[in-house]
Amino acid sequence: MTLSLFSPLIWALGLLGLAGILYALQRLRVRHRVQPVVTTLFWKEALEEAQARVLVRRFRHFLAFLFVLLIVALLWLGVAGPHRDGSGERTYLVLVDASASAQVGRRQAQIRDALIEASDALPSDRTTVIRVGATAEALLAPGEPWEVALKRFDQPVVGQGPAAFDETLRHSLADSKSNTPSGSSASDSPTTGSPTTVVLIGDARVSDAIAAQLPAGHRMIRWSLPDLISENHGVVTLGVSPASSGLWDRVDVRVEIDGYPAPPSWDSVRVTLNDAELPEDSKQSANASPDLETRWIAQFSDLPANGGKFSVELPADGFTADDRATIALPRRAIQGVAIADPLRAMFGDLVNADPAFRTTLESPDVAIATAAGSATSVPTLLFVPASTQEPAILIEHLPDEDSESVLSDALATLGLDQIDAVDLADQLSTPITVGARPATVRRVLVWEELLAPELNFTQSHAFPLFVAYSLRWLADAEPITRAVAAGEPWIEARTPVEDGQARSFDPVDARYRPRAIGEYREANGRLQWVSLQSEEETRRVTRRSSGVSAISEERPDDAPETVAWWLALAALALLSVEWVLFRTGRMP
Amino acid sequence: MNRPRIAPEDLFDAEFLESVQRLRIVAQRVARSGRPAEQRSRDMGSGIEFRDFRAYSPGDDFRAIDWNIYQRLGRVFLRLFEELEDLPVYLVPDTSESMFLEDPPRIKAALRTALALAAIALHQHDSVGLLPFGEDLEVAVRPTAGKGQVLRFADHLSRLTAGERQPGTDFKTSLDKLRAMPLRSGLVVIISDFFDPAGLEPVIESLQLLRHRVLLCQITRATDREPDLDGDLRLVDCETGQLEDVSVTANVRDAYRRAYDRFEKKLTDFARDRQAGLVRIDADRDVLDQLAPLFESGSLVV
Repeated sequence: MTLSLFSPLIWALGLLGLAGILYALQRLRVRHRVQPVVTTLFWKEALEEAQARVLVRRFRHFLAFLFVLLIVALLWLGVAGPHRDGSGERTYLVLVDASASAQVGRRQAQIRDALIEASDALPSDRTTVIRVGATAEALLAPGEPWEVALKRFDQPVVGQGPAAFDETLRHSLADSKSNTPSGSSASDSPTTGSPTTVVLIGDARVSDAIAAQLPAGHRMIRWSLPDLISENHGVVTLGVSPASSGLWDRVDVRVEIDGYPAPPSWDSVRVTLNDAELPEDSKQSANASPDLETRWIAQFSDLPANGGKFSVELPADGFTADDRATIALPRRAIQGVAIADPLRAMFGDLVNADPAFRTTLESPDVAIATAAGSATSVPTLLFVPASTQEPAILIEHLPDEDSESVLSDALATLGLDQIDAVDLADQLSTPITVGARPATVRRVLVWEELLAPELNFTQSHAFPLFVAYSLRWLADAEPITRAVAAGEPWIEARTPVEDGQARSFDPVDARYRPRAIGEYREANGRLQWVSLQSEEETRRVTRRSSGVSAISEERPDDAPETVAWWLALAALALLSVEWVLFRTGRMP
Repeated sequence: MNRPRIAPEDLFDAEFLESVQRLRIVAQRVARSGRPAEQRSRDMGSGIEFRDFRAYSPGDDFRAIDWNIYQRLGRVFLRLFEELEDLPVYLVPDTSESMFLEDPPRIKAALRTALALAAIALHQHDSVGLLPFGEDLEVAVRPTAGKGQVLRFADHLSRLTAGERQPGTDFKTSLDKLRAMPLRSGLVVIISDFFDPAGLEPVIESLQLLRHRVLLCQITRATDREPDLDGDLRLVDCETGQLEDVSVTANVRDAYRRAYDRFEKKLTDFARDRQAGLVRIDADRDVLDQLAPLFESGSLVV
């Protein structure tokens, strides 16, 4: 067993001091109750016989002294903060909520007050404090004074983003496991081998999955905070889809808002396209979601897919971060396709039937040609003799694209997964393969032999899909992207992104998650807007987090409470015994 | 210490006087019907000379009780000798502070005992004297005879409760003085708690030297042996003012009891050896209820 408060030597010296005090107290004259008696004759004899305590003389009640000393020793040991060997000193990880909803009204001030209370309860040498919002910021490292944490806390919160306790804890757990020496328990921290208490200050939620991953001996508690604002509404979803009308160069936008107990007046909702307000008749009927009492949906149809900026803005309330959402609409212009004469009969109707394309002879955007045709600088679906290339389909991509990525995407993006390559190979008695290589302009080179009428390729359902997808790929049509929500993966980000504070982020493997709401610029100059779009954030401001089963509403206190409680109980039991002994006259 | 007097009517209320009267009448009735004590042999010689024993009968002179036989046999017998009717009774009540301390004070039981014995003796014999003592002995009433002296005795006994007197107890001095007084041989009735700061030994030594017959009336109470005290106490002897700090524990209580038991045994042994009477009167019980069996049926609970 080790002691938290001071070393065993100090404890022992303290006990000696207490023993000395007890000894002195027992030696001192006890306050006696004056009692007149008819005679002291028999008392004198009794005292001499019983060798009763004679004050300010010999120390007579040694056993009583030892008994009281034992009680005092137990209490003194409890004060010293003992804990079992091997458990080590408990460390603390304090997560301070700096999400968008935690910046409403006086919430940060309340969180600051809670942090001050925590500084009184937690030892600074074993506590780490991290403020978690759009960014994760260390406020206190172990060993630093608490004043430093408060000074750092007083610095403005950078950005508004959703809660990220889960993410921070996930990283913390991953770091803990990766630093765990081989052979040691996962419940041990890397350096001290002690369990950790995670203290959550704020309303950010921790998922059950993360809570379940906490090692044995770890605890998670939430610091109670007062309730927040009473009402709030916000934009929780903003999405774009191809126009239900079928028009290629149009899109539909879906807006979901939450927090209205009754159907909202869409007159009060400002909807703009390129900062110009949409006419009233463009706001379609709003329907309530049958599952959610406060969720309302608006559909905006046939908006021009010309890269415009679509925004929806709700009336301001106590929490404004979720009152606005913006999305950049895709560019989906109808592409002109030039078809070489020999192929016009085969591809003409096919192209004209596709709403994204139209045949043209002048200034085409893409071309369908044969190798024998004139060279063209536009992206081309080119049919070439099989002798000129080994793969049946060769994809020439731009230099900044990765051949392996293009090939892996080709199955879907070019519709190759629909082609019965086995059947074609049987018919041609040669394997049907796909290849990719960089080039200055995009091209899809296909064996012209595949167009032979005796093959089933041109008659298959895969052929028009292949042609349509190939033309789209060649035309580099923008995919329909959803609005980017803060804290969610920005899957479509392909190039480095710069936020409003000129900080650059390089998306890797589509795992990039913009933490703060605001305007972001891609390397190609394209703007994207990141909105809050979080049902949890919108609803959290009106109620405290319900927490997870692993979280209680206790205040943290230091680790050795269990042992100290047992010591206190033991001392109490001995005090009771002493009381009984005293009352029965067995103890002075 | 100067204390207010306990009025005679408080000390000897009507009920008590009536009971004393009944006790006295019982004794007198037996005497009229022929007191066996009056059947004296002409062969008896003069002086105090033991001749014969006879079983006690109601009305017999309690002065003639042979306490020695009682101690040994548990039965009351009378010694028969000629000087019976000339045997004065000297009542020697303890008026030291220990007799006044408690509530009710032992002095009440002591004085009631004295009056009861005086009443009977006055009706049976000639003279009864009152010699209270504390640190010293004094003569409150010289030996006086006469049936009408009972109320006078009551008044004198009541006066013993008042006035300035020294609080202490000194048996040796008091009994030495008694011994030195030119008194006819009689029955000395010492009514006391026998708590002498000097211990029991000086008491016994002084009693041994008395040439009178002795009847000891020890005024006791239950708390003498089982004191109702606990904790850390500073005991103050009410007579000497001596302080004794004590922590009352079970061990101390046991030792106290043993000390008290030794005291009682010593007193009992003395009475037996000296052929003195020893009557223990519980101060918390009715005195006459405790004395009556002696005079009515010859039974006596000591």
